[in-house]
Amino acid sequence: MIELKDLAVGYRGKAVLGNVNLTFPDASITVLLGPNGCGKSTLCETLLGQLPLISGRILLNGADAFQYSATERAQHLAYLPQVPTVPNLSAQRMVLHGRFPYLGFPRKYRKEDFSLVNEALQAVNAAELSGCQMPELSGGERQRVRFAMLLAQAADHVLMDEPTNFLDMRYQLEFSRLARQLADQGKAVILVLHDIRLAMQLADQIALFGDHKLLMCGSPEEVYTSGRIDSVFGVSLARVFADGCWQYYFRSQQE
Amino acid sequence: MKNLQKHSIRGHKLIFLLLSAVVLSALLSLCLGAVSISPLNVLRSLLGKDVPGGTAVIIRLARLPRTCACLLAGMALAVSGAVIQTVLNNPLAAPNVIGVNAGAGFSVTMLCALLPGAIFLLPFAAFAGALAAVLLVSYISRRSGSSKMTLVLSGVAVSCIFSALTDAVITFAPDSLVAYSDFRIGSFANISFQHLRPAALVIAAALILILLFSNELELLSLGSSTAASLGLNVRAVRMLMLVLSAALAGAAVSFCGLLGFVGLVIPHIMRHSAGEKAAVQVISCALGGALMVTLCDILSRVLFAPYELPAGIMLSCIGGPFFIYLLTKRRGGHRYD
Repeated sequence: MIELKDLAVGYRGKAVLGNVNLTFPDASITVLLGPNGCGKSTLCETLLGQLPLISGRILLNGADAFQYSATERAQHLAYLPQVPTVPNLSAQRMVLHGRFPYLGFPRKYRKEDFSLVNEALQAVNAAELSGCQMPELSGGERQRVRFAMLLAQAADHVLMDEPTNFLDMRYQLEFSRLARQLADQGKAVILVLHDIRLAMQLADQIALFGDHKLLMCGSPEEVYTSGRIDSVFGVSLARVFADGCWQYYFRSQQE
Repeated sequence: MKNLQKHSIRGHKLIFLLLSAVVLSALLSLCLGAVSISPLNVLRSLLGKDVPGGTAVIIRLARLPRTCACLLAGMALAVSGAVIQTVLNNPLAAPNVIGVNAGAGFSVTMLCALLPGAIFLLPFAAFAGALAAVLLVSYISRRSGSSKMTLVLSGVAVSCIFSALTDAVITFAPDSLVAYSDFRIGSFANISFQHLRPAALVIAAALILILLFSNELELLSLGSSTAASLGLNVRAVRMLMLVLSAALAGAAVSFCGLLGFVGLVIPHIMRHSAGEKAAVQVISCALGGALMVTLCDILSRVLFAPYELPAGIMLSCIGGPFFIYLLTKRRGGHRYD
């Protein structure tokens, strides 16, 4: 569980996002939603310890997050960046590096690391990619390899920035299943998404940002009925009941 | 699992092949020159046995230091190039491209002008110049958005500045490089163990450190945010690696001058043929660089004997076309973005 208490984040002492009180509970999916530039990515960087926080506290499993060493933190919080670099490595070697936080010096991977890697690749249906070089894979295949890397890292919190960016529809559905599976394993899954429809369907709770603050946090139902998505994004969100669940869509506000 | 093993076997085979080639070329380099010496006599004189005439003197005072210098310079420049390319995440970067050699060259010239006798200080001066160039380039490119293009462009700019400063020093103190007539081209003529010893220490230490931290180096290639989220102290590792690559390039420049191309071509070849492990790549770059420089130096001695070309000319004459060949052959294969 990660708790944010009166948190303000930003660059060089200037707050981009302030006064955030938010909890990412275990075994659930939290989606961070908000327009471009609202400070979601800054919040992610601060969570990862790559930016100093301006004020407030971050509690990771009850203890101050800055008390953790970098590798301890990596054992608890895995991260998928929005625009990841493509290294000259095979998929298998890439996933293997997910085990880096568990290595002692001199950084030699052990047998159990290799078997965890194979399990992780199988879990995302990418076992056949293991020998392929990352630059030769398609965008969707690379993303699946990166999911496997997150699994191999075996952290109890997973933070993903726009994970469905490179995925075909089929793999977007696959991704939803994977995210749910991670939550069912007891992990706290935190997603930054731009796809409102996916967010509404997938989230257990939605944290809605705008205007340099956390506007509200609640279930998709609560967020929808509050009508605040409409005002934040400048669209009008609507839904129909089909296939046993609400299907969301949006229109421009003038219509 | 199977794939990784296959890769590592391929890597080990390559290292073995390169190692044998390096040993052979070193032996060749001891045999060939203005006076040819038979391999048997070379070995005898290396072991301190009796050999005819001035052979022992030629070997001990001329050929052996020269061969060692080739091996060391090749290793240092190639590994320096590989590390710089990984850290800056840019296959176009190389010590001579981004101004590292020029920075080292400037401080060497400066030292020669100010303190002509201080030979033992040369590697350290070269290191300081190389480091200044590396830090300057990475700082400028980060300020200007750290794209791959701005990095190379700022390297070219820094390189120009240091070359101009070098020219200025030579203009005011024309005698400063008298001991190094071929400094700007890169050459192995007239090298003594006195020049080599301090540089060899620096190179050995830097190589060992790079190998110890090779997995960290590999992690950097995942991109800084991913590497950081895996618990790597990206800034510290990046800094350490840049310092080490500057030390390598600086040490090499201190005795062989501004030798180009090795740092660009060898890492480029090894990236595709040595597999993916950073440690294996570093070792094969070291061996490949040593091999390439030694062979070029042999050619530069033998081709127009008794005249001698500076090895730098040979390197560019062979390295340039070979690099172009590699680029065109690989068209459409690997992409770099």
